[in-house]
Amino acid sequence: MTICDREQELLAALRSGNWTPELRAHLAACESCADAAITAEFLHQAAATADPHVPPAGLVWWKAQLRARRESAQAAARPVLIAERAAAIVALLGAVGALAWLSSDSTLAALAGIVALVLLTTAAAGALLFAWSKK
Amino acid sequence: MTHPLPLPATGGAGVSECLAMTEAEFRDFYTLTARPLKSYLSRLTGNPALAEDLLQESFYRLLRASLPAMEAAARKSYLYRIATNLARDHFRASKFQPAPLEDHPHFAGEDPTSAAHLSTDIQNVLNEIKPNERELMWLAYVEGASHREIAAVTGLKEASVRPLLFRVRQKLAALLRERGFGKENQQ
Repeated sequence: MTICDREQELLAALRSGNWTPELRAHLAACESCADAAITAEFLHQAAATADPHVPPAGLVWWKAQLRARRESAQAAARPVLIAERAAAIVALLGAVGALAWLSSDSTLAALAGIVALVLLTTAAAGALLFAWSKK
Repeated sequence: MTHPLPLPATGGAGVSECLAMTEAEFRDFYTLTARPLKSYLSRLTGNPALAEDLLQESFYRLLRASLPAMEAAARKSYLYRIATNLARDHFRASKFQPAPLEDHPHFAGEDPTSAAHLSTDIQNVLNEIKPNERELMWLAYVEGASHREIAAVTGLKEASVRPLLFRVRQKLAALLRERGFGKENQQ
């Protein structure tokens, strides 16, 4: 069985209810059109009996606005959060370096300590500046 | 009525700028598409409450999408694509197989001639075909979508739509005859 050339004609008749006797005779003889007719009629019934309730447009629009606003705020806050975490990690590294400096007399430890202090100061200043610029 | 409730006064630029349509455009588009989309989703999922959630999510994603200017028909097609993908995600996430609604407590003791019972019978038949088959049949026979539009919504190749439609239609028609639907049509 293949799709009948008269299927569109048949579907149009189903939609409009305008049947010619000839088309009706064709429907009785054509297996493909019979399949199309029973399926289309069933699906139209399915559409007609489906739950028709939809929320009001104004409510959907309002909820979309609220959600968009919330998501925008979250997206704006994300870089601040990342900067804060990065600053915390750098500060931690700096603190470890400073401890190494204080607990040792070697030149290398002193160098590490100076680097650690610079890192600590830079991280704190950077984080503060970044957070301030985003608020 | 502009908004059912006042928007909270928070700082920042107007949120409408983040949405792809103005409120008036949205209202017109919603009026045109919400009911057919709800029917589609209800019959696709077999669950009106879930369909309503998916409907709202679909409109939200459409509003948030960065779309070029397009005609209402193309926008509608895009909306259906979003909705179809959301329904598929839901099926995947929950391994969802709708239970026959005749077993649902809501329908217990229902008058067998009532509209609700008819709707249940229809859903039970639809549940016997796969969700992607439901998509195809609905788009073709209820929405009257062309093969190209069906391909755009479902992600199928345009050339695959015709044979698939034919096969699914045969399957559904056989199922309907088995269930005694459409007897009057055969006379």
